[in-house]
Amino acid sequence: MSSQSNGVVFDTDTPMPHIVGVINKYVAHTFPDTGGDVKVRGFLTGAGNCREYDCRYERVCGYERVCSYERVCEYDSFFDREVCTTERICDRVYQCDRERICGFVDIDGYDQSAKTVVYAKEHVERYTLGSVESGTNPDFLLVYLTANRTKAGSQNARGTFKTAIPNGRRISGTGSTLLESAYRVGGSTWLTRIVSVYLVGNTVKAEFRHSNRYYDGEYTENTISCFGAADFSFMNDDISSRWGIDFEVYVGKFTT
Amino acid sequence: MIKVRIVSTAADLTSNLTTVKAEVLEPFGEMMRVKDVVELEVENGVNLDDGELEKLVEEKYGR
Repeated sequence: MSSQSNGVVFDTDTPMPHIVGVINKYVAHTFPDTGGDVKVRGFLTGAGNCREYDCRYERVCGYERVCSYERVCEYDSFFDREVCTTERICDRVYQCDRERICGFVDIDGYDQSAKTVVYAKEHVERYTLGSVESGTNPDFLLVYLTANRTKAGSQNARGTFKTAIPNGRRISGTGSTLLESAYRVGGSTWLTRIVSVYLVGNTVKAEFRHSNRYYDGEYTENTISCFGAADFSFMNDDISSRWGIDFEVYVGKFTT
Repeated sequence: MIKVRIVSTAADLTSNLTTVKAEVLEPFGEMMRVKDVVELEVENGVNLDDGELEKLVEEKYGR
């Protein structure tokens, strides 16, 4: 077969590629959440950062002038009877009392910062997309895929994992396709999620491979609390992602 | 006579444990229909091919 300018387009004397089967299959796959932890470090800020209203009893002592009235009676011989009068008698007395004193006092605060860690995991899941007739022994695949990320894994400090896959668009998926990745500050990759389409005999398989190294983040969250240790549990990362992929696979063979 | 078709195999590469998900098919007139969907955990199953896994599921299912 020749082109308009007489160039050879297909030389049928050479092995000719042709399609022996088409496989369409939808696969929903969830990449795992590998688990992790939140690490917290902190120190007491020292008095002066926080105040609290406090009441306490204090023992207050001192000399006080204490007066009292006393009835004093004497026998009056002139009247031959007892005559009574009331007299005011004062004295200095050392006395102690308990007094309730209230007010704001300086207390220690807690200066804390937190980071997340993610545990390492290697996980692979292989799906059977379909098969061609037994004995075909295909030579190659042409793959299209239309992918949707229905749930995106993320990190509290770094946000959603990056993906270069255009959501819902039909793209070439022959070989291996990087679905998601995540990087440390400075550039090294610590997480990858890859889908590969390949042949095993007459069967077409899709492999979803998750691989992540131990991730030890940077201390990013900081808080000064006047009321005890802060709760950082909200920082726990959920790195699980869910993808739904429509595979469109053309299974090919060369003529002999 | 049942037939087993592997749907997926999942493995944590650090634990040597493979989870096999498979459809169990049975004759239905001139067709086959899915009778059951089963999951089986296989130790050291990473190196087994589909044929071996299908045979394993068939054996376990038949019991």
